[in-house]
Amino acid sequence: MDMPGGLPMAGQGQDRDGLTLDQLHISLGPLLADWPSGLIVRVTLQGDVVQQAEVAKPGRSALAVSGAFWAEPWVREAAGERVSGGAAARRRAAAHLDSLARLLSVAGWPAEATVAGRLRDDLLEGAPGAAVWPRLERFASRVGRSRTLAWLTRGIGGLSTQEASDAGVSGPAARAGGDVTDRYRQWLADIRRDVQRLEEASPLRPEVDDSPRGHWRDGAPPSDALVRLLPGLLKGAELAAARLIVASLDPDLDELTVTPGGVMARD
Amino acid sequence: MTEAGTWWTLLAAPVLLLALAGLAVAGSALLDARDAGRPVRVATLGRPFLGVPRALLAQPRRLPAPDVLLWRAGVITVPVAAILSTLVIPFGGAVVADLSVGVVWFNAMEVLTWAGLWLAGWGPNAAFSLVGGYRFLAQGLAYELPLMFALISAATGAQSLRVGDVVAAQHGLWFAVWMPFAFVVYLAGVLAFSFLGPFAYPAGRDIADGVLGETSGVDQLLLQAGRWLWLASGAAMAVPLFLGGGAGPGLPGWAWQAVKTVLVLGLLVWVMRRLPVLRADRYVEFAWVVLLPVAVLQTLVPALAALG
Repeated sequence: MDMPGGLPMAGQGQDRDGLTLDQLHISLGPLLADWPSGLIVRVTLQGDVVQQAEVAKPGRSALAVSGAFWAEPWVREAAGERVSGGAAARRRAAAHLDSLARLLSVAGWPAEATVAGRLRDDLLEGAPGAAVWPRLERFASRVGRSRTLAWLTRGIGGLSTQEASDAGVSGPAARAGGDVTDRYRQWLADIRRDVQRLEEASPLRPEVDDSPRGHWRDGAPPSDALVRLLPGLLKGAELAAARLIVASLDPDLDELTVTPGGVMARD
Repeated sequence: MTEAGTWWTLLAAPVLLLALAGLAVAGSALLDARDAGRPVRVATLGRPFLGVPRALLAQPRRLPAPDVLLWRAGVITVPVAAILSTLVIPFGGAVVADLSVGVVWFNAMEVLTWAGLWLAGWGPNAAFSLVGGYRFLAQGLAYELPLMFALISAATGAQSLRVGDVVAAQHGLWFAVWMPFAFVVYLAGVLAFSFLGPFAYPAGRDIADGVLGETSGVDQLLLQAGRWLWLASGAAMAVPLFLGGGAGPGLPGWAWQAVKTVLVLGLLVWVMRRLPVLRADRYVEFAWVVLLPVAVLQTLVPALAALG
């Protein structure tokens, strides 16, 4: 039979409710608004429920960017340079605001995503903590206390502290030990703590001071563990929830280029 | 009293609606600029309209195996239904068509948007736009029944489906005052059938703009115009339904209608920015378990008042 436009018909498969439904194979990323850059997740959809998800190996060009911007203080420290704790806190707060901007955009709250982006830019430009603090407070209370946002993100992408540590995850995702709601609230709490220590001159101690995505170790950047978690967390989620889950973990694939032992570089 | 207008009102109504929709777009652009820290100038207001000539000249995008006929039909339906809905909205003492079932006409035009948006999602034969189309159906299931009961509340209060009678019945007390819940549900419904703000789910950024994603050029312009036209039309209809129409001291009826419409429109544009997108899978539950029962109870109030 002639198919419209020469396209094959969709195959069918069992879905979670025991029905036989069309399966649609699409890949999320590498080009998708507010998606971690370079990440490609191949998903099998039935309706808009993710039945299968696997993380694809990105092409070389996608990872050709030099260095991991958000983990830079930790990379420099590992290379033997002296980095102040304040500078690291500034970069980490900006990284979390960057993640929050993406999450809020995916959650469909563009006005607050803009606010997060502006705070991030101001921090990166070296604004003093006192100048950022009042705006941060307003933003953190509006987003952190929003019942609507909490209601919409509650119960998806659950990741207990135990599961996180088993998967080798450290950092905010592990400390939050809960769902998407808990993770963005953890980010907000971390940002507030960090903005109070922007002027700290004592050197960065990587064993107690985590990089934005978690404990920085050579050979196993923290985003590696986050990427490995994705297929399990996405399975069974609806497309909208899947996007929120990815945004709430926000793995940084640039980290994987820095240390050659990452999941992408291994094979 | 409301009377059917002469032939030229048929032309004036769409022009007025376009002006209102343009006002809403400009206001939203102004708030965007303020939030982003860009300087707020007169040019800021015109910024979104620069996209219009660009869209008119744009090369249409080609897709493998689109369903062009249904796609076009869907895209055109949305703005056309919004314009047709204004036929029953009184402006001061005049209305284009003084239908005896005006409230039903408005509702019917709004339901046409269901078909329009779903077809706009189906037509391109692409995954994200199809998901967007289905999202609107799910959203529709959540907002439509409470919205209908809100409309029925106003009609019951007036004991008539004629919009002019609904205005006349509010002589002395606005329906928004003694049916506040129906008013709020109606306003939420307006945002929902405009798929804007918290109800932008069918055109969500997480699915690459969904129903809007695959459209380009004129098609995109029509759909975008459609959603703002619906917002303006919904705001204009709120005035005769709940805010006493053109009644008010000092000013002529048309002026009061205009002032109230702009205020409602401003309120909607402001609310749009204060909430994240309500995902239909969560919102449906709230709509059926909370909103719908309360909307039914709200309809009982004017019904009992009419009996007693």
